Amino acid sequence: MSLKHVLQPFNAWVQAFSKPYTIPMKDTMRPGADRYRGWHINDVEKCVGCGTCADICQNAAIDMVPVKDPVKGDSGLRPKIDYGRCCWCALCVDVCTTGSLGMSNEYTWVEKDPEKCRYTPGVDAKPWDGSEKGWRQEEGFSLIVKDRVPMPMLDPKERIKTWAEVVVGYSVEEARKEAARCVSCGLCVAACPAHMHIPDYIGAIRDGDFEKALDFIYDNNPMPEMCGKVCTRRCEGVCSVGIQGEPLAIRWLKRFATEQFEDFAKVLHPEVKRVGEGKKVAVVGGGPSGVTVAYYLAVRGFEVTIYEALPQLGGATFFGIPKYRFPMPSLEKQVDLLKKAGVKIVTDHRVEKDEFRRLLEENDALFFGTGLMKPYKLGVPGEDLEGVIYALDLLRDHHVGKKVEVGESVVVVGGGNVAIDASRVSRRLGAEVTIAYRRRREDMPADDEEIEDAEAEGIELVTQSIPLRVEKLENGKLDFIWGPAEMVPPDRPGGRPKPKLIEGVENHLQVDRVIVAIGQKGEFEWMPEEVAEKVVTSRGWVEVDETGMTQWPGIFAGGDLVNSTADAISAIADGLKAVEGIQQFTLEGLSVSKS
Amino acid sequence: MEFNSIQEVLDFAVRQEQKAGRFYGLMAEKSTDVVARKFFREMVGEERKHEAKLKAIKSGKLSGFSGQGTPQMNLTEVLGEPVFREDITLQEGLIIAMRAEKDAYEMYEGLKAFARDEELKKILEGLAAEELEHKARMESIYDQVVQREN
Repeated sequence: MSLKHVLQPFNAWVQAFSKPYTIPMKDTMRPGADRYRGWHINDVEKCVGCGTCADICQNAAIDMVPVKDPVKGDSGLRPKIDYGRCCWCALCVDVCTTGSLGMSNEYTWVEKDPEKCRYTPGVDAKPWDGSEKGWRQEEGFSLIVKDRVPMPMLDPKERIKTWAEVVVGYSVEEARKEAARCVSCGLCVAACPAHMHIPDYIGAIRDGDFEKALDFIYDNNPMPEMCGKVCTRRCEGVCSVGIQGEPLAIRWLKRFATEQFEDFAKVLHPEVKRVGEGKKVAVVGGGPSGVTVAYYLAVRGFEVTIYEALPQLGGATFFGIPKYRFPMPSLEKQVDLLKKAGVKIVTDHRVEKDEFRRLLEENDALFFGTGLMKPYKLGVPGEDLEGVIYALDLLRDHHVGKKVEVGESVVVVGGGNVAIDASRVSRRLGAEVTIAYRRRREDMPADDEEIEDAEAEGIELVTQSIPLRVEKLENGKLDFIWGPAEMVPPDRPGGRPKPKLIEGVENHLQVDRVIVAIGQKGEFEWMPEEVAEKVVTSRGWVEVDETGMTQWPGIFAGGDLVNSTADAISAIADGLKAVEGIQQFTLEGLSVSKS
Repeated sequence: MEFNSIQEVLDFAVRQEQKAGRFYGLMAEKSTDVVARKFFREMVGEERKHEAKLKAIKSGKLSGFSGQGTPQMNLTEVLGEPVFREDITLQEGLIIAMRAEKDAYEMYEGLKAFARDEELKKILEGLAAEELEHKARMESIYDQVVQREN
């Protein structure tokens, strides 16, 4: 090795005093491309906290964190992103059910504290919050399947000639395809009064395990085939898939699962804890709330007897819902399981005052859910004329096979499901039907789908029409006289707008029948005075506490008499509440606080 | 009917409320329907509240009437005229109450013509507005309870 070679490395030091060759960093960064996948942004008002972004994230970079109180249709959670994990793949954006989540095209951000590299977009303010550029869901593209698998239905022109079920039902392939659209966000569970395990049974249907689906369904609903056909489906109203597309057909999927089995007892595997052995419970009224109480107490070992005034259990779902929506075999299957669970059923038996007192003495608890069995009257002159009838009577008579004649034309007064059912039954009996409703179409309490079906069957809807009186004409027909209404604001925000009669205008409609369906009420003549005096309110409702117990210790109540929604699933929810309440009361002797 | 002072008018109005209270009390006593009976009892309480309000105005504890301006539905005008029977229902009871409030409103409106001065007229207007408010409230209850699906 020469001296030159030894000294050569020190020559490099000469470069220390020369101009550097590195390129200085510019003050302004080069902007990201227009569709660059940079830091996240989120429209938190649009976001409903479904958590689909967190579910799809392959790096578990997203946590759903609470930012506000949950409400129906909004979990109150929002995504928090961990940029130590995020790989900016944008799957979270592409799968977002609301389209609220996006990515800005900003890509530089320096923090000394790594904890700060986790933030909740839209909640923790960032300089790129208002960024217009970046990655968004593309128009027309989504990882969510937005279109519902259509439900085959009978043609409207054909179905008015028959009592056959209008809804045909999904095939296995259709049901599994529809179930696969579910993102399992669970917003529906919170909206369902009974909090059914909706994502679980839909997941089981998707996987083709229908027995498992039925197990999930029967865990907190003993009348699922009924709900699968006629439920008011508040679950679908909050379905996150429905925000940008059509909501999951939750009701039809439940219907599908229940229709796969002829005998539920053969496939169900209820978890049985026979804690109630030796305890007796009487249930007065065999509607959805009573059936729920009876079934779940029976599987827990209680000795339960249901007393029902009508020839079949089911309450309003038996006598009120026409066969083309809910055929008898569907109801019978559910009642059959009730019998197999050990419930004693006494039908065609109306409990009266003395028997009620005796039942109170002989049982450890008593539940009643006798429903709203009496119609409110029209309240206008002429309502007692022959030909003015009540929808409840029409539906009941038709259901039990009595001869019902409605003539060639009818007007049905009201806008609830009872009015729609009476209209569609009248249509099938051959009449031209007009529905007269006091408010606007969007205020009608009837299910939207039912209203559409009624219109498709040729039923005319006259909204903002206030009945004034009914007169008998010389040709034997009735003159239904109504006045137009203007809408005035509701008493409280969110309430129903109120119809106000515009005086001085009269419209006439010649019909054979005026069918009244303005509302229903409870009936308490059968109840001992001392009980009624204590449990019934001045509006005709029954008040219960958080366990379903009335002001009379040991007497529980539920169903349409108790809740304000008057639908079957709320009645089932009341029943579930009372099951726990009755168990507490009879086994633990808890003195329950009064509401 | 002639009034010479505001005190006289208010005394008259108090008597009217007492009369209404007795009327509802009697109906509560006679009714066989538990719901109607409870409703009439509630109305007795309502009339007592109205009476107390009038007495407070009379004694100067309250400066005047403060209606909430509940929108009218003109329901009373189209409904029939039920009469009291022992088995009267809540629906009929509500219509009777609506009509009673309407009658009271019309009475005060009519009495305005006999008012000797503006002050008296003003107090009668206040009483009429109060009764109209009660009528609107009854109509709202009727709408919510009876016309739940209409």
